[in-house]
Amino acid sequence: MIGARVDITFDEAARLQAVAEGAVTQAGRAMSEMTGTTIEITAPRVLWVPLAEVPGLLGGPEALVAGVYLSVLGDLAGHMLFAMPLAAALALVDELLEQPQGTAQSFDEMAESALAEVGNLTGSFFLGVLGDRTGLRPHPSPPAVAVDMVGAILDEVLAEQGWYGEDALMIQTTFRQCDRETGGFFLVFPDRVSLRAILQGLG
Amino acid sequence: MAETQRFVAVGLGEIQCSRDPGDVLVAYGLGSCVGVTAYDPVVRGGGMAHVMLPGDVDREDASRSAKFASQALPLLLEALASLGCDRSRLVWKIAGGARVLRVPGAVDQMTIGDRNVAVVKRMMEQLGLPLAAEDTGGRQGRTMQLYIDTGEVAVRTIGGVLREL
Repeated sequence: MIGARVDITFDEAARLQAVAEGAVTQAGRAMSEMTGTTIEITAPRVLWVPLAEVPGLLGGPEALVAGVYLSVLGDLAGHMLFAMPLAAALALVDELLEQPQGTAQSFDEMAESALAEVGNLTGSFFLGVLGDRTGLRPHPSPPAVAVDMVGAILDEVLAEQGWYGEDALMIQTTFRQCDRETGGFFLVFPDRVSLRAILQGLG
Repeated sequence: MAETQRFVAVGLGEIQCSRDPGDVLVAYGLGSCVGVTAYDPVVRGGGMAHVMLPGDVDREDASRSAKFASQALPLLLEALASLGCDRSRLVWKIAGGARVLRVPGAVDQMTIGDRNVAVVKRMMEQLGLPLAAEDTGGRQGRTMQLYIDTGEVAVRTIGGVLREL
């Protein structure tokens, strides 16, 4: 399902969804190789939403989440945030570190670096697929990790680059391994100029 | 305490003021942002600004916005004056300015949070406004509340209890 508003048409939203789907499929393949087990990532829903609605969609501004932040460098400018409810993030860390579910109880250095890798892979593949389809060459910064209120993380992400646009691309992601399923959100905040360049490149 | 409480969210870059004893002004999830509260105990009115970026202290910006630390205080003062609050009685408190995102292995440097706090304090000094209390910096996000009925200011972090500032 695609929610489109502002100056994004239905077709443009569909192209962004295709980029998102391509990126998470590749990220899943990379994570499977990394862990030696099959991890399938899908993007069942992509939304183009006003920034003000993002905290609500993530469970409210005080909801506890684990997040990985990457800024976009090179041919495009903006930022990306991979966010998961804390419990889902800990379950995913157990899968990635191939340990029994319930082993990771809090975010130590090992858990942080595993989660940083998930954000890093997803972000890199997103920019990679975007680059392949637009001819532009964006690349991500090293990942930064935070475990806190979703409002506090978003507030810092937006302040970090001066609050570029008014909307964000919100990609719902589902991680499936064996019979277990965890979910998170991958958020992309392009600046206005970059958004126009992306849509033109994809058109 | 007022019988019914109404929580009024103060969003990014916004200012809210009230003299309704039932109102509680709240800035949810302040990360590097800074919440600024001012309260006049005589008229029992107050306000809160949710400051997002430092801005330029020495330059008059055409688009005045509470988003910037350099402009939020004069705007808050104006809004409170129109509510009948007396500038000389205002009790000022600030919270926020944390560094929530951690880059593994990166050296700590002056962050946006630090700069927000520094510019808010510098503006208060310039305007002759005394700071009564603060809870700033650190690694954790905060929610800040101002109870219009009593003027109490409370701050909450993840896993933490609401504590008075």
